[in-house]
Amino acid sequence: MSLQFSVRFLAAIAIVAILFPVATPLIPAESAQNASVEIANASQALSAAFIKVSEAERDGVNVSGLTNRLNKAGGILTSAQEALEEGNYSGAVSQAVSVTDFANGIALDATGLMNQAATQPSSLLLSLLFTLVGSVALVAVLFLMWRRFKPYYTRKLLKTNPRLSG
Amino acid sequence: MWSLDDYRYIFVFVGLIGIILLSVPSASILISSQQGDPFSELYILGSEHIAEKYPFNISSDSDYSVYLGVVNHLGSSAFYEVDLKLLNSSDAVPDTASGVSSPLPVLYSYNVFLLDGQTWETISDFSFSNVTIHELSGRTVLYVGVMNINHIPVQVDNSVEWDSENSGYFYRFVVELWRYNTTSNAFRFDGRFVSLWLNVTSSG
Repeated sequence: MSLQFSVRFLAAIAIVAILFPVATPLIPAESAQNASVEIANASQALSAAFIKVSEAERDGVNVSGLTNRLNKAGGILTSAQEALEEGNYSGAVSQAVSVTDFANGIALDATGLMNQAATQPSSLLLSLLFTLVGSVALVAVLFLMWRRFKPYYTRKLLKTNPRLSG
Repeated sequence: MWSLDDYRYIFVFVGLIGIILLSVPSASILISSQQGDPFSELYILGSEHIAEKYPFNISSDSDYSVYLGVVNHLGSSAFYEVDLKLLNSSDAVPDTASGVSSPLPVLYSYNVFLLDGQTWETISDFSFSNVTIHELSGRTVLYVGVMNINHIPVQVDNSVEWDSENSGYFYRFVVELWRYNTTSNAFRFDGRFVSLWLNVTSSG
């Protein structure tokens, strides 16, 4: 039984050993051209993400987090270009693809934040409203205080007994 | 004792001071949105992070390093590309007045995103390999085959003649600043570059 198993096992190894060199060329190897195309796609995706982030910034969104993420993606793109220069095409492709996915995610988040910002009043508008309402309230309070203070002052003045000295 | 008019002035004074204090948040937003001329800053520092001790006498297969930095003063975030190029002494340098970059190929580039007022800085290592000296039609020529930037070999294939006036083979390591234009959806040379003269020798 064990001898039969060993023979089968050895036969299986032999088949794999024979077929492996034959099958390997069938697995598509990444070429320099593929890598260049993927890097160009990644670069384009990164630019598109930056456009979205810029639009979000113009709409008053705080884009510091998105910019940090863009920088990370930019760093990976540089690594992909380095891998291409070194002839590591599969590495360049995988890094470029991850940049594309990363950049698409950033663009999506920027759009989401932009939509969120559109429903909220801008900080300038809120500040102007604060100034206006605060100033009106202050003037009203001072006016009411003045109206109460004036009779109090007159009463206090009348209670005093001015005397001539000398 | 103070007169009623004195008290009136005090009330008006308190009211004015209060209104001025309440206007501070709005005024600060308005003032910060109006700034001076927007510009980008590009700089290069020596290996000790100061504006001296720049690499000059370069031996092949030896490592050198410089600090590169970009500062955004544009009033909004920006997407920069920092391109590194190697020019020989006769190649045209970028023209800042007309905004024309060097026509030579980019050897290495950094992708940088900066918020307004933010600074990016990196240390960039470089070395030369496959450096040979030839006699060509009675002239002595130094040939640089490969420039390694951040330990990545990049084919250069650039040669330069012996400069008898200054006694050396001179190359220019040029750093150009490009900025992504969201209107044209393309990078444009920002009109800013920095460069280092390098006197390259073939032996280590």
